[in-house]
Amino acid sequence: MIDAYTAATSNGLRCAIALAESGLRHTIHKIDLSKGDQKTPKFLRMNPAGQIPVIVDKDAADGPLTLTESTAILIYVAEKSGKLLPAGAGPRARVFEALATAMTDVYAPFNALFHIQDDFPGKVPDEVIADFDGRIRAALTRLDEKLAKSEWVAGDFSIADIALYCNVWRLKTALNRSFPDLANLQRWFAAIANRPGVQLGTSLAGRP
Amino acid sequence: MIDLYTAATSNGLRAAIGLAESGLRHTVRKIDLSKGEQRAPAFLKLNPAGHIPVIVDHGAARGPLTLTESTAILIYVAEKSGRLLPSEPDGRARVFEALANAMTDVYAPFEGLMHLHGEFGDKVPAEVAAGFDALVRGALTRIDGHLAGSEWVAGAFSIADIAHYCTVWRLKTRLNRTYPDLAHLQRWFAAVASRPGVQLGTSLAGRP
Repeated sequence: MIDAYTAATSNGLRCAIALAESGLRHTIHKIDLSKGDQKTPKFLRMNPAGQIPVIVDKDAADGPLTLTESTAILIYVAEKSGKLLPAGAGPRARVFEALATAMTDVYAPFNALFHIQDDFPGKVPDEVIADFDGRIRAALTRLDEKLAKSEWVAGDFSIADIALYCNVWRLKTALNRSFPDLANLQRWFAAIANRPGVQLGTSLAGRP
Repeated sequence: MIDLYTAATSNGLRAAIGLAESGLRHTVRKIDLSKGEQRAPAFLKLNPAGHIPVIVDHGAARGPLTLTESTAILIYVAEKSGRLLPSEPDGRARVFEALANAMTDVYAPFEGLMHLHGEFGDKVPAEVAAGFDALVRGALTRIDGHLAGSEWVAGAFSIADIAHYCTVWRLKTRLNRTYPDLAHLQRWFAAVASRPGVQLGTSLAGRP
């Protein structure tokens, strides 16, 4: 049994959806970030950084394993369940490549926009914000072109789709960036949103 | 034989050091970013995004494999060589956790800072840059705390050390951020820098 401590952010949703899609037995514990539940002594014992998500796998090989970082949790869950990540070297490389795109090329400027919006509203010139937006759009446009020819971002549905979906979802729900002109990306987004595992993970993680 | 197309940036150095430390046979081909070689038609055929690094593995199981994204290259090289990444689940999880920490918690604000300084240096209020600096320092301080009790960031020397090292190296060489007060980080940085594989990869990737 895996306990997941999470919330409805992009990082938190990544963990909840991966567990739901993996079929591994797990329990979701919602952490209320607005109440500072991630800074309580009990939570800080699991992750001194005070960040969600965290999982505790009570059935890990060497005794209970506490793991942080949504990207690491995606890989752990995939390797433990044998789902969402192919075994062959070539297809596996394609999934890690798309996962890295999601967690660096898209995530870095997305994270910068978040930081500017929450901590420095009105203090950063529009052209600087437009430039971060341009980087996100460039990365998503390349993905849109790839999705014109393939159903998912790297072979079969994988942890790379989950990673990227949660960024696009958060860009929409928290930053009001929706990219309606990227038709293939929209088709892909709707297909993921319809998956039972994604709906289950999203509902358990709670509202944004 | 693996061909690596790279340059002396944090992403470029990550791939060069990963290959040098892996022991896999490879050739390093320098891409001169100042001359725009990453936008040349020959390079765009390798990576339409126009980003270094790229590897082409001529010895891949199903024919030549072209792979982008430094994080994906690190994982590919580790799994192909059987080095720099443990095989048992707990040890792997710790390496992927530290790798994810490098590529999101440190890299995202680092990239924001590079971008703010490089392109909008005089247009961004000092307090905004200071906010990004504080995010980088917060993440590095947690790593410093971890390194107080262990030689490397996650078990034996791994791709997570390489990922972190290249970001800290770039913070120093490009942004003049050195963190002399983080003594454990400094000890670790010097130890990584003195490794023959790291020196080889760094010299082949060229000067920053």
